[in-house]
Amino acid sequence: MTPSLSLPLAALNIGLPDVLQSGILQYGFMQRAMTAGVLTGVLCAVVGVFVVHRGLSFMGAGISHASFGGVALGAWLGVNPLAGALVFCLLVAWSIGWISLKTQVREDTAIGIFFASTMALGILLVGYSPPLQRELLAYLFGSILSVSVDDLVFISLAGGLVLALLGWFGKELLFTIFDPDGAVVAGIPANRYYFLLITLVTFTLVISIKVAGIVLVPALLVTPAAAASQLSERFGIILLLSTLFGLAATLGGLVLSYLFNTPSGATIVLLITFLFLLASLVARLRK
Amino acid sequence: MSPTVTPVDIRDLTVTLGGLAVLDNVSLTIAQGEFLALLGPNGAGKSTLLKVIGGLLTPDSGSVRVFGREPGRPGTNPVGYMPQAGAINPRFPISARGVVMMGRYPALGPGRYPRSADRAAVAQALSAVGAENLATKPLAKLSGGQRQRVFLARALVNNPDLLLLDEPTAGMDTQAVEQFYSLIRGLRDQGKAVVVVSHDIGVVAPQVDRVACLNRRLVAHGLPGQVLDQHVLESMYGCDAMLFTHGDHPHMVVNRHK
Repeated sequence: MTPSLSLPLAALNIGLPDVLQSGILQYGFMQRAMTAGVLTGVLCAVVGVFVVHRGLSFMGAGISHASFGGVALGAWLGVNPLAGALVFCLLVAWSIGWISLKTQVREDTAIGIFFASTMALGILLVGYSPPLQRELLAYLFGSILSVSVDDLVFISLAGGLVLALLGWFGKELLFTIFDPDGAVVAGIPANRYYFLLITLVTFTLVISIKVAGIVLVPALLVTPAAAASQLSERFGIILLLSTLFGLAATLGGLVLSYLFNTPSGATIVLLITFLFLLASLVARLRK
Repeated sequence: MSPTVTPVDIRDLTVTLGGLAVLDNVSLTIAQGEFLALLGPNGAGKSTLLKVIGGLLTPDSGSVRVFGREPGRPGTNPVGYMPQAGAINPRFPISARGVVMMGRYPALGPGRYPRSADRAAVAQALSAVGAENLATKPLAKLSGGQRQRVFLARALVNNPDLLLLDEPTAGMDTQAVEQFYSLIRGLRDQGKAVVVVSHDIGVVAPQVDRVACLNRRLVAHGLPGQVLDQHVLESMYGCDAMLFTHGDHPHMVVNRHK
């Protein structure tokens, strides 16, 4: 398996010295990468605010890792790996949700069980799927520079759907993540909205795998929202700041990875983590 | 409000949680304009009963009707609910006004955002609890008592016919408790039915019209002065207990080492 892994590594570090001499947006792959970065950066940052304030960060990490099993299953079955990941992750997310609502098993325990077992399934299946072995690193750590036009269409449509649903059900989701009991008494079915939220989270994560990768995408979801929450006590402002941080990190990370020839997913994640530390520092100084 | 429909009508209610009977064969009605306290020790099932009335828990057997309907399906008779202080994240990024506005969400429905009528209702509810000056304050900046008033405003924002209050004065000082209950009695006088859950008999008993004493079963139900005798307190707390009064303030003395 090892020799085939060198290919995607090269793709991650796409040879940039000659690219550096000309404009960053002159290249089609860079334009597509920037567009994908903007779309997923905004999407993750907006959904992330709901995730962070509902305490679903670990759920995000769990579902994202489950997508490794989904990608492998898709490849093994001969369907599009991302489509496989989407269906598989939805089943995992709904199972975790059902277990935590209907049984004595806590949500974090259910996530812990699925986190590892779905990765294990992926590792088993990867052995049977030579094409996936070649793409493995791209799925694990992202390959934003290899985003295709088809990928962009998928990201736009699915991401647009997630944002539209968030806009339509936003205030109900806000009520149910803040006070689920109060929402139920008022006539808003909190459990259904919990399932809606984990469904939107699943779509968001799978959409963003290409950009940041399975291992790194939870940071894109959680960290901009966490940084924004340090700076405001208003949900609307946090949504706005989180979006700005998400945008700054994906675009800034891409430019930095281009300038310093570093892996883009990792650069984006380290940049957003830096923004989080900065926001924490600012919050502390303001007190 | 239709005067003929009983706000709360509970018959032979049994609820089990995790295989344990939390409420056993409880029957209770709450009339319009009645201010009732559900009393009992921790684990007696008071909060469970409130949750059943609010539609948060489904009974294992027996029937519960809230204004003649299944609980949790507010129709023309809105139900206002105040959660226990501990059930809420006090650092959630929302203003006092935002909390109260949530009470308007169900009637608005998905896809529709608040309009001027909703903003007026929110302002009115905040001023009804004397919290108009807190409107723009973030929840995290409110004291415990202020927070409880804001949640009461949310419970009131649809002019409900039934109020469900879960340990509403926990963490308040004596003066705030007095103010809070005088506010609630005013609402009762407007014809609203009010149910308050409390483990603190001494604080609540003098404030309410009737008490229902629970210890999985309904131990006693009636006027506080008539019901809260030594026999009832013993059945409720399972130990020697005595309620005595200093002026208006009853105190309970419990002897656990009888």
